[in-house]
Amino acid sequence: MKLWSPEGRNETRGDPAARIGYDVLGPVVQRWLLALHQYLLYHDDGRTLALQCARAGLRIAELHGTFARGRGRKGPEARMFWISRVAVAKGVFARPGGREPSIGLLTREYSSQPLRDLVTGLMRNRPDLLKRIDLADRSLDAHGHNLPGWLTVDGPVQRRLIAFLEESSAAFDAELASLLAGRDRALLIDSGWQGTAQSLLASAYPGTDWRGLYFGRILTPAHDPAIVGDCIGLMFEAETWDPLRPETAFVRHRHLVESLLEPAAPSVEDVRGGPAGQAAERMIATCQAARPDPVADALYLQVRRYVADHAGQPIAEILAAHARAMPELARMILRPRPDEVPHLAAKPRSADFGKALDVPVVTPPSPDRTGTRADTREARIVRALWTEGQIALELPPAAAREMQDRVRGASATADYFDPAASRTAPLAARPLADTARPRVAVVTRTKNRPLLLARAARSVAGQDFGDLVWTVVNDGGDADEVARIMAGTGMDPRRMRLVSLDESQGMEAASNAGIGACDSDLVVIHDDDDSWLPGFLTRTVSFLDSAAGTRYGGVATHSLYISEEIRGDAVIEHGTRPYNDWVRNVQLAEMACGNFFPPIAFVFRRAVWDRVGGFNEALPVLGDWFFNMEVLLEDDIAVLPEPLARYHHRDRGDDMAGVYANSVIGGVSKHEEFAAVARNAFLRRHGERAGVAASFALGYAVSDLRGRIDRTSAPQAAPPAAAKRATDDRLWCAAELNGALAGIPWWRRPLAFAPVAADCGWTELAPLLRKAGRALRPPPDFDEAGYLRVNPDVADAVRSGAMASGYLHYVLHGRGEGRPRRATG
Amino acid sequence: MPTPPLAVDETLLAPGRRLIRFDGIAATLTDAPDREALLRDRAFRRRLFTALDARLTRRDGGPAGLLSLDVFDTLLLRDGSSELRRFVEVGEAMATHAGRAITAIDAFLARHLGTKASYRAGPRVDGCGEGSLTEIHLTAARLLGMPDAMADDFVGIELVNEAARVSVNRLLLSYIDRHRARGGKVVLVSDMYMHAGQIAALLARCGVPASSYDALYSSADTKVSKASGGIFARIAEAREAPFVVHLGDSPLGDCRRPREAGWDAMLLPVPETLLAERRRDRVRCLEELRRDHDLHFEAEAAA
Repeated sequence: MKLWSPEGRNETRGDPAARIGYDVLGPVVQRWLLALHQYLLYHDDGRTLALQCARAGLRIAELHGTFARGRGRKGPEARMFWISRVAVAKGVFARPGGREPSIGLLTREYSSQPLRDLVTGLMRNRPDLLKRIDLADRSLDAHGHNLPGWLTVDGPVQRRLIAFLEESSAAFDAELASLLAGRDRALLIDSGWQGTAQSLLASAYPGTDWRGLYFGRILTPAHDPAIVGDCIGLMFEAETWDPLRPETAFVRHRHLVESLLEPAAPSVEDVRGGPAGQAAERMIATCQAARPDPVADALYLQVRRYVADHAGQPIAEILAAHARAMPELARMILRPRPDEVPHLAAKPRSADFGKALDVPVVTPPSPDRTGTRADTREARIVRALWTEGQIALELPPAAAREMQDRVRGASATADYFDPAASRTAPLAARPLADTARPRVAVVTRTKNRPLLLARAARSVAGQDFGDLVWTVVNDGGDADEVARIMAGTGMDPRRMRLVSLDESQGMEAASNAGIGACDSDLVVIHDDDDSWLPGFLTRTVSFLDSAAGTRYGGVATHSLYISEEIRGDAVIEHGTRPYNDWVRNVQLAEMACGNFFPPIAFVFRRAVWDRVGGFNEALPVLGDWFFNMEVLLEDDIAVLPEPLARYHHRDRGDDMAGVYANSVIGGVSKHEEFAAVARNAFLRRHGERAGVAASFALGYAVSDLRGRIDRTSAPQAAPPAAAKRATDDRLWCAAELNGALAGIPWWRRPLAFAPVAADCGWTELAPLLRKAGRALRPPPDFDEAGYLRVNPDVADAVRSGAMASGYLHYVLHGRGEGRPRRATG
Repeated sequence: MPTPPLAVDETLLAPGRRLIRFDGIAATLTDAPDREALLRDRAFRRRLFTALDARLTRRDGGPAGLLSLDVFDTLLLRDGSSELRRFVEVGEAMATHAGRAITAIDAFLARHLGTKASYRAGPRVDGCGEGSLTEIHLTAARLLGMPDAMADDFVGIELVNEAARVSVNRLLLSYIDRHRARGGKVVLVSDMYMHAGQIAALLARCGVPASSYDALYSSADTKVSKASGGIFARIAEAREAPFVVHLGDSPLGDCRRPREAGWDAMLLPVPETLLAERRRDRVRCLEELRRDHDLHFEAEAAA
């Protein structure tokens, strides 16, 4: 076992709680206190009040007081703010901007419980008032997600609840005015994580500048984007663990911080001076009187001792001690050993929002309970607040480490079969000015299409990846016009080249001329009429640089089909839809049937271009298809299923065959003619060397042809790309199933498996969808996260693996149950 | 705005095939082994002035355009030291000035923490933020347990230190004189945590008096910057000028963004040899911090 050797305190070696609390957690907390001090001093401007939020604020105030001793000023005036999320929800209810977010928060918290629980929870500290409410009222059977509508009914229960909340708000107003005393900025100091109370306060009191100083910031989909900039995570701001930032390990066990800072006292659920003001005062008094428990608060006591022992510690020493301790703490959080778990799990988590229960962080395996349905090993791991800790208690060390890595996303099941690909290889940063050998050559071929070229220029210049050279090949057109457009882009002039051909040489010759006129590791053909989303190059280059990408000669992303027309000097876009988004991998046999991704989506290694001898200049069209097949004889092509490329088609308007035409639309007859020419040329060139591949290709083509003939008698759902509207869920599901089928090589398809017909009903689809499970992807306009958020029972089922996804639940059950379909955007 | 003349270099690759490049002056600067020598070179001076004249003057004798210049690494040339080295040196000077028990490393780190706070919590305009040297040193002074008044001293120390690490680009200064002599206006636009007054003081210390330019804008004051593109609309002189030509070393802030704002722009990059020297110095400096103070500053700076 590796021994931890921190900076001293030999007497802590024999006591695990002391070792973890003092030697490991102590320096980390000290670093956080320095950061808190730093931001308090920054805000010490006479207009700011620091509000230490109950309950964690009590201990934060104690620790910071110790830390700041002897360091000069401590920051702006600080006061305790006796709140909880539910108290703030009550407090802002009657404010003009507060009512809606207050109801929103209460709805979320009680969405899957009856409204009866909500009313009881909110008013539980006034049992006398509760007695006057008819809790048997049938309207209280409805679940909490009905709260907004329920409150609009003028019933006796509603009236009493609203009166209670309005009285709370009036008291909260007075309390806040007294605290702020004219100051217009408030710093909320708390453990974390996404500023729920801050969001309510910012909405209800817009005249005050609300800022949050938290141990860390972890945003969930329910966060308020309006306050993110003022929601400051002092140690980290992240949603997932980042191996380069050990502090982000807290994302996996944030309860460690909550437990450390939470005194053994109840949450202050009511507002001082409000209708339950006496109860609030009792809760406050209990908080103030709470003393750390030697067992439950062992870590806090050690941390407090560390901070006291290191009062006045110089900044450099604080940083150095933290840098030494944090990796070990991250290891303990992410890969804890069984003996460490009880110490780091600390206290059970106490629920707020009027709920009286404690949630254990981990559950010790109990022999007498093992085997019951609710208490299997898997159920305990799924239920645990600290998953890695529960795993350590359940599995032998080697298996535990593997599963711990998997749950935090450091490895996946697929890594077992492909360990080389799991090694992370971050993209090496290269200075922008290092123009000697750019990473990517972007080659654009053009001829007298200034309108489209200008758009292509914006597409290239708009990439968030800068290490490129853009080489434009003017294929016999007006060179001055091309140069003028290029010069006007604002791109770094060192990163642009123009190769001008006096006579048109054809598309493939132009590609070769452009690639040959510059140097780079990677190449992509950016036709003058296509475009990218800004992250295209960053994603593709990162992938090809990663361990998983090194085996591939190129990578293609998914694309969007853009339908457009040219009107005068403007390009009018009419529609966008996924283009061939059934593609998950690239097989030579499939490519032999026809090209299924456009050049704009494909980044390839220059070495592959060298090996295949460049693009086939004898082909006036379909050269990209021929090139892809030749690449596949040399190397594999990966697929990134993200629609980062935009494949434009002038398939409307008057100019479909004119100067702005696509080669696909305007040159239809050429494509038909040269498909055979290209296929024959490929076989002549490679038939001897790659006879097997050629047979493969032919076999596939024949089987594809037979399949098409067989299908002529029944209407069949096209792949998702051609689905008319993604909102047609039945058609989407049918297309998804057919798309999955297309991904299975023909010789491995079940004989009885026929493609799903477009007019297939839900009854026939249901069993197939159940089998498809995770393979069924939600359509782009389905809000998976939102659906799970408003249907917590479904979220539980997905989490436990009982249901593959929210979308699958929706199409199988939710539709029939009348649950709203969640749309994105 | 008149269409700027195309400054291109052509090479015949083969009969009927030409290679056209757009980076003549930029490439010369990038590849320069000795920037000082290049800027003294008469041929380069002639080439640069010709290119600027062609952009800033009109053939019909109309009013000249507004000349806008970046400050750092354009009008004021930094040496081969890294930014990190300069900050460590500032820390040393702060500690010497503060006396008492303040160490150089703690002064350097207090400045660093002040910088982080200023950038993270400082005011934002249109979603953009920028650090403020005044805020940086106020926070640093407080972290060191010093009175607020010490912040002014620290700012002064930083300006003195900066002045020792920069030199005036005499070539551009002489072009500024030439442009102003024919009635043209000049503005300076900097993406910098120093406020305009602080940059003006530094320029004056380096021999560029305020009378050399008509206005000076800093993102420390406007919060919107050249890199974000928001500052260009706030340059009052540009609204009154027939057209604007901007010069600077950043491909994004001094070339792409001004062009998106409708200005002409010319990139005057830092030579690759100098950038490499700065990168090497940064690595050395990081090693010294690790060796002398057990400080993993790279991780700390990224946090």
